Amino acid sequence: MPESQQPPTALELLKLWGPIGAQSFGGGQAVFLLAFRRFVEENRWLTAEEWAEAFGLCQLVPGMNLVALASLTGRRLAGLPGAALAVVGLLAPSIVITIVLAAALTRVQHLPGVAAGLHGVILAATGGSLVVTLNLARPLFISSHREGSRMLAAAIVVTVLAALLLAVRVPVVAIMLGAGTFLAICAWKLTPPAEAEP
Amino acid sequence: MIDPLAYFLLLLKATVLSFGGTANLPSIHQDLTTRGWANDQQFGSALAIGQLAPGPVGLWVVALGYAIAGLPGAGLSAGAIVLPPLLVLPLAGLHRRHAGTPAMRGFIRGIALATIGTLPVILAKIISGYGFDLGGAGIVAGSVVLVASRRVPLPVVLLLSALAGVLLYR
Repeated sequence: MPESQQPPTALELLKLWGPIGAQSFGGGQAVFLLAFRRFVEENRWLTAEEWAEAFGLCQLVPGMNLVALASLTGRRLAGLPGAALAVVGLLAPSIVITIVLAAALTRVQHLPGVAAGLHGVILAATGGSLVVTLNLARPLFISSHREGSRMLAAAIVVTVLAALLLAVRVPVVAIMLGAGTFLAICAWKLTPPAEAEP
Repeated sequence: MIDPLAYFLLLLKATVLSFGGTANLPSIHQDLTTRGWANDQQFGSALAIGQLAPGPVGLWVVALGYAIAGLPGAGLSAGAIVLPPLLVLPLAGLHRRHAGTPAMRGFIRGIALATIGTLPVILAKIISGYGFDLGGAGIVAGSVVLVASRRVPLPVVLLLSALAGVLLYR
């Protein structure tokens, strides 16, 4: 078992997450891999098991997973200041760049070339979002299928119904809570209890 | 113009029921457009900036806040998207008891599927506001293929689409 290094200070976490956040173009798996290398392989502040556990937990909370991961590992290594500075390091550079870019675009948006280029990027951003949505959908439908045809049918119904309800202006939060509740009941009624093995 | 507290709470509500990226878009789009606080053009630009800027795509909301209410708007947006993932801190000790139950997994899956159903509808509405044409459909399809292939880095896809936009719409 590799000997663990001296844990980092909160300030070191700030400096460590800065470049990780700034490099994370579009987020995604590359960023998590980069963070894994820094925390587990190079510095040995966390074991691979601890990292995997933290990573799994971060999938369960809402919003940006990377923020959850930075705060959770930050607290484990350097207390609450560590959590706070890790999140600041991760997001502050990107937030500043986002605001500067937004401000710059409002200045030049009226120029015909800029508006046309931005139109192209908006279309590509839409395509990118669609890919992320499809990537997310695939494992959900696969695991639903594995739990039986009725679970798969329920998943398809929920997805299609959500789009239809949105079209008739049902509040999105109501659609989501309804979908969650419906599938929770389906899972509870349709999946055999895991404890029932001998 | 806008009510800052209501704006913050609407974003917080959308983000609490999302899993990062643009998953909070359907709820935010519905709430802000029905109040007249933002239009499809502002949403389109904010999504583009979210992709163009380094860092998590989730920061698209910061660009939207800036377009709506300047720096205070950007600050409110940042707060609303940073707080929900921090729930991981109080939950760290609790999760093992409930996270594994089929009902809990079903609930989370249901929310994710509702997002998968609604997000494409909202995206279609936003880009149709720009006047949709065959060339535009080509850019969307091309970026889907390039991003899905994972062979082309995202900045390159964005640069190509910007060039295509200039050629098509200038």
